[in-house]
Parts: sequence; C-alpha cells; structure tokens
Amino acid sequence: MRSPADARSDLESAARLAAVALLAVALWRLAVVAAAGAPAHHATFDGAPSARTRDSLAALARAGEVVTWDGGVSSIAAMAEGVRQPGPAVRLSVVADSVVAASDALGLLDSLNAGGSTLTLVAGGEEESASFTLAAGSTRAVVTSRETPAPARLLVIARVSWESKFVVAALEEAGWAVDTRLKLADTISVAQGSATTPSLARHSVVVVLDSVTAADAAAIARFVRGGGGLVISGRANASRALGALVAARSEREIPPESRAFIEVDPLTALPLHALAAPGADGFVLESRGTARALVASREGNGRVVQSGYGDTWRWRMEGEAGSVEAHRRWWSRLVALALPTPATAPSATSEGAPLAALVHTLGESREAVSGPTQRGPAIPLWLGASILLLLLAEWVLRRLRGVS
Amino acid sequence: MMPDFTFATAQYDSGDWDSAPLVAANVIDSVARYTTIDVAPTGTIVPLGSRDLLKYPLVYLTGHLPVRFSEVERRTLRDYCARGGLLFVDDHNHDVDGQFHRTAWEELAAAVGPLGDLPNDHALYKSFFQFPDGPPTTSHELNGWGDNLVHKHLQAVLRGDRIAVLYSSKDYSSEWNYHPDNKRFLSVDNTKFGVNLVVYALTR
Repeated sequence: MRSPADARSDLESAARLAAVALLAVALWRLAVVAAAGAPAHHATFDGAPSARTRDSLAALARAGEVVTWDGGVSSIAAMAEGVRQPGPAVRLSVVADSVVAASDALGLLDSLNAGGSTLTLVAGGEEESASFTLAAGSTRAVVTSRETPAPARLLVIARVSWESKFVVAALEEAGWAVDTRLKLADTISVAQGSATTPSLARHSVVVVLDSVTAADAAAIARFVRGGGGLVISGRANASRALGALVAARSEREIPPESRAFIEVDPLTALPLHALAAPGADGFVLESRGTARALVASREGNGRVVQSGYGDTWRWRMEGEAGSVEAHRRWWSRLVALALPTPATAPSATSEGAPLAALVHTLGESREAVSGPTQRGPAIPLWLGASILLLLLAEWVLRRLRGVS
Repeated sequence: MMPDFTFATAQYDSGDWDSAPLVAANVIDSVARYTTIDVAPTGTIVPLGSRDLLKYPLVYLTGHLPVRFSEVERRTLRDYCARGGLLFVDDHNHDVDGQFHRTAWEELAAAVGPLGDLPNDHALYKSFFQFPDGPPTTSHELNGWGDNLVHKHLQAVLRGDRIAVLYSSKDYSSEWNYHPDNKRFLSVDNTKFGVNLVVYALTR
C-alpha cells in the first residue's frame, strides 16, 4: 500500500516534470521570436517630421528595431547669420531643390529660387535674434539668427587723394561711422574722429589705402592679432611695412582692360595690383583672368582682406548710371568681409536642414521591409507564473517529505 | 599711374572759358609747394559737356562773358555734382551786375540748384591754411574795380554738408593769373586759398 509520503513524492516528480516541460516551451518560444527578426516600423511623411517625431523613431532604431521611411520631404538647407552692413541685418543663405518661401513671425518675406540663394534682410531694430521659416512645399526649415556683431566704427589710413576721399564718402553714405587719418604733408594729416590710431575699443576694421609707416604697421598688427579686421586696398598691398600682415603681396600692376566704364564690368576698367598666391592661411575670393584680385586670410584673431583694385573712385565718378550705389555697396561688402564676428553656438531651436537631419538619423528613404509590426513578450505571463508555481509546489512537497 | 590731382579748367560752349590761363600753373605750384599731394605738373582742359569731366572731381570755371550752358553741359554738370564732383566758378569780372555773374547764377541754378551764402566758418576756410574771416579779399576788391564791393561771402550749392558748386565774385581769376615764378615778389602768397580749395575737394 502506498503511503502518503509516496503520493507526495509522485506529486513532486509530476510538478518537476511539468516545470521542465514548461521551461522547454519557453525556450522554444524564445527561439521562434528570435527567428522572426526584429519588428519593422515604416513611416511615410508628407513634409519633414518634427524633431520630436524624428527623435522618437531614432530611439526605436537604437533599440534594435527596424525603422524605415519615405515620402515627400523637400531638400532645404538654410542658415541665418547676423551681419552688419553696416546697420543690423540678417543674411539668409538657402540651398533647396525647389522654390522656397521665406517668412518670419509677421508673414511672408520673399521667395527664393531653386538652387543656392542668398537673401539679406535689413533688421528693423537691434533684436538679439530672429527666427525665419523656409517652406518648400510641405517641408519647413526653421532657422534662428544670433545677435549681430557690435556696431562698427572704421578707421581709414591713407594719403590725401581722390581714392581716399571717395572711399570714405562711399562708406559713410553706406552708413558706416568712419574715422580718418589722411596724410597731406610730411608732418600734416587731415583727421576725422577722435581716434586716429587703431583701437580695438573703438574700431572694428582698419582700411589702409596707401603705404604706412613702420609705427603704423606695428599698431595695425596689434589691432588685427587682437581680433580686429583689416582691409588693404590697391597700392597698399605693395607696402613693405605691412609685409607681415599680408597673405599675398602685390606682384605687379596690371593696367585696366577697358579704358571706359561703359558696357563693361566696371572692375575690368580699374588698374589691378595683382596679388601673389596666398599662404596656407589665405584663400582667393576673386580673380581677374589669371590675376588674383581679392584674397582673405586670418592673422591672429583677426581677418585680413586684400583688394588689388586701385583707383576705385573712377568707378563711382565715371561709371554708368547707378555706379555711385554700386561702388558704395562694393566697398561696404569689402569691409563687412573683414568685420570680426563673435563665435556663436547654433541655436537649439534651429532646424535648418530637416531632410539632412532625417537622413542622418534614420538613413536614406526606402520602402517598408517585411517583419512583425510589433512584438509581444517572448515568455507570456501565464507561462512564467505556471513554472514558478510548479517549482514552488515541488519545493513544498519536498519539505513536507522531510527532505531539505 | 595717374597723379592723384590734376588741375582741370572747364571749357564751355559759350563765353571766354580761357580768360585766366595762368591760374592752373599757379595753383599747381602752391599745392606742390605746401603739400605732398601727388599733383600733375600741368593742368588740363576738359569740355563741360564731355564725360571726361567725370575724371576730374575738382574743376575750375571762369570767364567774363555771358554763360549759356547747352543741354548736354547742363546734364553732365548735374551728374558730375551728384557723383561727388566740385565745380569752382569764379567771376572774372568781379561785378555782381555783370553779364557773367547774372547768367552763370541762372545756369547753375538750373543745372544744380540755387546758390546760397557759405558761412565764413565753413571747413573750407580751415582745410589747410586758416582763414578765420572767411574768403581772403583780392586786390581787385580792395582797389574798387568791378562792382566796387568787398564780398563778405562766397556762395555755394551744397549736397548734404558737402560743397558741390562754389561760386566766387572775388575775382580770384585775376588775382592768381600770373606766372608762379613771380610769386617770390609777393610778401604774402595770395594763392594759399587755392590750396585750401584743393585740399577741401580732396578730403570732403
């Protein structure tokens, strides 16, 4: 006759067997899920997704799930930067594969053609930043400009000449505040403004139109290395005193290609002090034929812009209708190139290249891949609980039998 | 390379534009004597109606006879002043009732704008030499020739704060119309104001 202990031993064995069987079932389920692969998610966008949506999908992808996308997301890459020309302005630079509409908080500003376009907007005030939305179809890019550089004052160092007169006039007409020191005789200079030596506290850019003394060159070098801008124009590029600051010395003077300014590019009617090949720190901005005409370089913390064009005043006086404004804009741009710009981190709210960000995060657009759209737990709750209960029952039965 | 400054005399269709041929040499001599401005050794003559006028941002115009600008001259002069040129007009008659004065004022008003008195503390009178009392008098004024007046002011048409046209009834054309070598016979160089005019034009 079977004793109660034998019955408990049988139950104990049955519980153990059942637990082992259920463990086998659990392992089998795990193997099946692994063989089925990771779940696949596919998103179809009509326009660029928000950063939040994009980041959510990126989190899924990083968790091992397959995330694909497709849809009509236009390619836009936009950047906004605060500039002074000389008043506060914002320059929007946009590259897009279709026409882009630019707008700000007040409404539509302008449209920009497909390809690379630049739109310069004069700021209405001294706001520290401004946001712009650029829309191509249903794709929107949002860019935020940071604060513009501090108001700039210029210092022009030259000898008395028509060139110095009309360069100063052009810059003042463009809105720059200009100090001048123009040499008139051996011991006499004509000065305008309270500071006639370069000062980082007062000036942003120094414009040199003629050769300078060694003392002036040393002061200019300190100014530029400390973070100021320098424009060297015309024959000043041959100045020995400025040799340490120039990336490309003037090699020779090339006469104008045209004697008149009518129906030609006005820059071809100016003499050109051709610049030598710049060093490693410099790069050529503009050439006339094979001759280098504009070169930019860094010197310490500052920028140096060299223009080989001489007698630019003749452009203003002898050029076709509109040449006064063109000469003014050209000089203003030259000075703006040398203007120090404070380093600013990109705005956290900027979303200037939504397609690029999407591709960077989720990869190229592609079709949906087959796979489970969602995955349940590999070991269901009932299975785990049953195994646990069986093992617990087996332990209790063993204790009742007096076995440890 | 072109010199920085060339003294240019305006040639206009009517009148006697070449009535003071030695003024150019005399002013050039003074500019070279007192400054380091790169000045052309000889002056030039430029037709008022030609685009060549635009090559010379300071131009001198004088005469005795009635002035009548052609439409081309008027248009060119207007453009010249708008671009930043300065026209210096001197009445060689020193006579406010004279033909030159009356017709030149009419023409300048039509081409550029009405003339007004230039204050005697204007930057023109301090641009190189100091003229605290305004424009220097000429021997022709002091000797009672012409209109028998000592003119207290020059007149000007301004573009902003810059002189576009400077008009003189003081007859500097007679005062400066002598060979520069004869300057040594003068106790005071009477062409100094010409240097101020050139320096002003080159710096303002």
